[in-house]
Amino acid sequence: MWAVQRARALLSSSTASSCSSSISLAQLPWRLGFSSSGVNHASSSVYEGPNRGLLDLQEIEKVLSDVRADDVKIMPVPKHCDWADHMVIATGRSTWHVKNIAQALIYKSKQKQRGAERMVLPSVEGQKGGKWIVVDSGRVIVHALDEKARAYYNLENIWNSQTLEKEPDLGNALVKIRRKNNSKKPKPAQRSA
Amino acid sequence: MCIRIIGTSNRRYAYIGDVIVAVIKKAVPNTPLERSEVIRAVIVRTCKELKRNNGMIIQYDDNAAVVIDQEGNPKGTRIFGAIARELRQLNFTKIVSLAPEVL
Repeated sequence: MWAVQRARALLSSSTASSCSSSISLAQLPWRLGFSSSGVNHASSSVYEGPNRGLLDLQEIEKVLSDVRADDVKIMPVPKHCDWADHMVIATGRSTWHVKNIAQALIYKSKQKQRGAERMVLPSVEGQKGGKWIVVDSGRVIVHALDEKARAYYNLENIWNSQTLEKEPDLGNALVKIRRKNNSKKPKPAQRSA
Repeated sequence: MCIRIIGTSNRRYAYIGDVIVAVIKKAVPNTPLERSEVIRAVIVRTCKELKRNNGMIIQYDDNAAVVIDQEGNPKGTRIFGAIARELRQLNFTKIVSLAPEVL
């Protein structure tokens, strides 16, 4: 997503500078880039700078393996949900462990933007309880759950079943199918008989 | 029935993303929640329209709330119906991640 947006921005700037006469060409990529950024919700101001604060999937994976989170699952979010790209689900052995997983992720993002004027930290939810902590770092959302909570909420099931069910439906929705004309059907049957 | 909106003083109406204290007036039998119990809930859908800065207006056909506990975990495991994106900015990411559709 990021790379695409940046490429589009580059494209628009290069076309604008090189061929100033063809305005329509230069406008097209610019417009595309604009619409794709409009899809993001209001906190997209976070993404506009170079994405220092937000964690990548690889970094999250590494942190989770470092703190020994059990049963890490990474799931791509289906396309019709535009609010995130990936969901990461991890289990902690105790409430302390779950809290530590969240802390490690925050620490990692702090380390990543050391010396920056303004730090952008991922929003964390449920830090007090330690049963289910959500670290929302932009396009990637990390769920750290207790074993019981994981079995109770069964997050994998939601996201797996949705990817299976809804994707083919959306594909078929716009296909035009010619209706059968039933009124003319019996005629050839009568002739043959 | 709503008793009070949390985090405000003397507000008359709750909007999407507000946490309210409420009483259960009616409950399905054989569920963990019973009638006349005092709970916390987050408003997720309102008939009153919700305006966004980009001029979009969202209006649902019903009023709905999700029952949560003190830590913000939802009591139930599934959420039905569409949910507004504003809930994510108001730190209800758990509810958003359980919802089938985000507007």
